[in-house]
Amino acid sequence: MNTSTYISAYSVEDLSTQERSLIAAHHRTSLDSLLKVELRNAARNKWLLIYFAFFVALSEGLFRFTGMADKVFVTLMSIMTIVVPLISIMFSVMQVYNTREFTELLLSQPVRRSTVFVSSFLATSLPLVLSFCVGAGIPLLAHSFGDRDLIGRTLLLLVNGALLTCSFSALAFAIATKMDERAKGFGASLMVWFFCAVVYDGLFLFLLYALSDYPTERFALVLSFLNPIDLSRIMLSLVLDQSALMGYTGAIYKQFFGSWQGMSLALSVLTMWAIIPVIVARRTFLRKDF
Amino acid sequence: MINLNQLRKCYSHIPVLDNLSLHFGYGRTTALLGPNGSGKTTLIKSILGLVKPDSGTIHVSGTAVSNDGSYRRQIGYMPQVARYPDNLTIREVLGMISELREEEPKRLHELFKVFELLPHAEKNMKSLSGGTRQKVSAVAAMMFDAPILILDEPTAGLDPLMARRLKDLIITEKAREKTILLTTHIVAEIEELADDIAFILEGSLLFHGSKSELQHATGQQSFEQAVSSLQKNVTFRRAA
Repeated sequence: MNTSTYISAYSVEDLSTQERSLIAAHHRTSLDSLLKVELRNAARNKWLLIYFAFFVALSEGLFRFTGMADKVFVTLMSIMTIVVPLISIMFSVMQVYNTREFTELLLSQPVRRSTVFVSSFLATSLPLVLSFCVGAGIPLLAHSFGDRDLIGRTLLLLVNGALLTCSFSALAFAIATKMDERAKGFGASLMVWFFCAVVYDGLFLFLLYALSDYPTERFALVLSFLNPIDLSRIMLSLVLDQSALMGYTGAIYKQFFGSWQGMSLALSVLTMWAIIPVIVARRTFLRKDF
Repeated sequence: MINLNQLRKCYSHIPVLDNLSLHFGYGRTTALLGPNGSGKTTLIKSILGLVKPDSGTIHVSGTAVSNDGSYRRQIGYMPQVARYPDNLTIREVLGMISELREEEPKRLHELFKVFELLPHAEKNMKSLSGGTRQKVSAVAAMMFDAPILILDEPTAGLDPLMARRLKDLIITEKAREKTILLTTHIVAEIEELADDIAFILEGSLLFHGSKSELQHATGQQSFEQAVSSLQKNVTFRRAA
């Protein structure tokens, strides 16, 4: 019997509708119980509290020091696109390694692997998303009271932060599940972040410089879609009219992201950047030999 | 009770389980022996569905091991290393396992008393010692009165008094005709607890039989010498 027949030894088609609904109810209950307790564990995690407090202090502090919403927004955007992916990937990779033995214990219970994956992913990424969104969001929304433009920008910033969190948290899950050695997993995660946050920009500029004799504007647009941090950074810069600083490419960006179709496409691509790593991480988890 | 048929598992093309067939009978306690890296843990993890074999079948109480996992309701598992989420209490962890199994723990109070866990019930896992966490694992494995117990080096990390109590519990479970699968390196423990010995070497079964059969096969008077002789045989084979 090969692996696939081993996995499908219980054929779903053999089950009656009533049995199937009972099994589905059991899986929902399992997910509820796991998620409830794992979220309780996360709520008591002091690192998440520090992360939350950092964003509260940062956004409130920036308002007090600069007093200008646009400046606060630019600074917060620059910090968010660096800090959120870094913390998300490192916190998640640490979480996966720290709970490896517990995950094995859970998998030895009558529960599906996908349920264990969904609960541990949500229990890791949701608190990170909430810490950022509530931490940065409350001061921003409080200060942008009545200013519809600012509220729109704030919401865009929060959505970007949430999607980047999911994306990098899922990347961490895929890496840490694949690599049994902690040091290698941490190294690989740091490299992924470093590549997306720093190296990619260098390569981007180098390519634009090397190809400066050719029309590269559309090429630049495509390149910016291939890295979630860049995509997020450009999307947020453009709502602040910073495109003038980017020359003709900036004008192309502005033309593209300025339209609702362009912005929707950019947000959809960023959402894909959050969904695809989750699918990859889930697949890795389901196939893993623990 | 547990039937393994032609089980094969390779890691990077190296076989860890090599067409291994084995039957763990109802009500028998089997000690799984073998040098480090012989495939004992892979075997246990295959039964639990943590490792997916390349080929072969596993049946637990007549049910094929499957993706669904409901067969694990019959198994109580105590892992070698016990780590739990730092910020949960013992009661929360055991409560969660209970909810996952949709079963009420039948012997929780008795086991808490045996392992003196009552004073720690509301403490966070991160504040507990390795031995106490090991006791939590023992409770988690035994509290549902599952008909099959898989215990991976159960007494490692326990102080002598608690190790004794755990062994007494295992003896009680034996008397209640549980099917127990046990790994340990302590010969006295094997002699005291096990009915059968399954010796695995490089993923293949080298010996499977009762303690007296082992003594007979190796021609040794004492049980300790019989186990040592199996181990020496292995060393000899490897050197050759």
